Amino acid sequence: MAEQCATWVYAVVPAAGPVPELPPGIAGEPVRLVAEGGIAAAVGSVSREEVGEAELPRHLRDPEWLERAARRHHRVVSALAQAVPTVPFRLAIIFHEDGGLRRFLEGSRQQLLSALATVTHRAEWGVQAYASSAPPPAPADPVAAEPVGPGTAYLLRQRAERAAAERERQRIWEAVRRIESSLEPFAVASRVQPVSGAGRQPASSSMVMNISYLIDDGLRDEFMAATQRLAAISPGVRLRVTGPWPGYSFVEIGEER
Amino acid sequence: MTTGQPPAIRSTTLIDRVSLVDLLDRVLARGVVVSGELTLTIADVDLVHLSLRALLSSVRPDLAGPDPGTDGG
Repeated sequence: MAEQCATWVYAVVPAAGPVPELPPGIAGEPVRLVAEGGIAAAVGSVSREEVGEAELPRHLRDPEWLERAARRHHRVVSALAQAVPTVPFRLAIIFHEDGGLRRFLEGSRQQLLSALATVTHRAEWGVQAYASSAPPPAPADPVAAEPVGPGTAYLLRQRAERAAAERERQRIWEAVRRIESSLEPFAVASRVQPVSGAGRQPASSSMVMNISYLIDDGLRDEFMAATQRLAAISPGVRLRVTGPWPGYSFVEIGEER
Repeated sequence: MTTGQPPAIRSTTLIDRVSLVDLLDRVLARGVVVSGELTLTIADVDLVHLSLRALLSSVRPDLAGPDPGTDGG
């Protein structure tokens, strides 16, 4: 008999320990734990109409479905991460039934325990830098040794503007390097995130840095203070810090062994 | 002794205000291979991810979000 529901996985947590009250899952279903060998997966039973083999790719291409699923998925993961070490799963890990999930938990136990260790007492923080939208001041017309015609004057101005733009790029590049080298010592690990491309408005092509840092809870305040200091000493660059995130970027659930 | 993260974001409302772009950067999978036990290979999601972000900005420009300020998001 065909299963009506599939098992959607939100995260893995230690099997022992407190479990907070959890919000409903991506299809409004209750989230439950499936424990195997000291680790537990937080899962929901979701109908195949939502996440079946044919339906899921179509739904993932539906912006409204995707946004709703992503936010609800993240809400469950965040509720867990606020209470216990949490290995977040990304979209979309779905098992045909719980038995397959249990076999996966058993087979990937070492990897999952390692991932739990990676996220314990730590959180992910996103640091983005944006080049200021204000253009650099226009260079004064260069002084020529001799009077020049309007065509030459135009070319000289162009060259001066390109040089000014290049200096500005250089300054921003140096600011980004300084930010990266200042923040790296606080981090257990770092991951580069997408900077440009679809999903961001063209104006956000002014984004010049997008890095996720895995920060020990004990260093969080110092890390935040460092970002504020860097924001103050980096003219022409705006910093935006987001977090704490569950450690999405720092765990990889790989091939089943 | 705490085992979780400092709960800087508690309410559902605040979580819902997480920027969609920042969220999708993290929750859309990449580079994961899964077995036949599962419905969907993450490689497929990778392809969906790449085309989807183009779709998002074309269908729902508001989802792309304004150029953020320094309010910490």
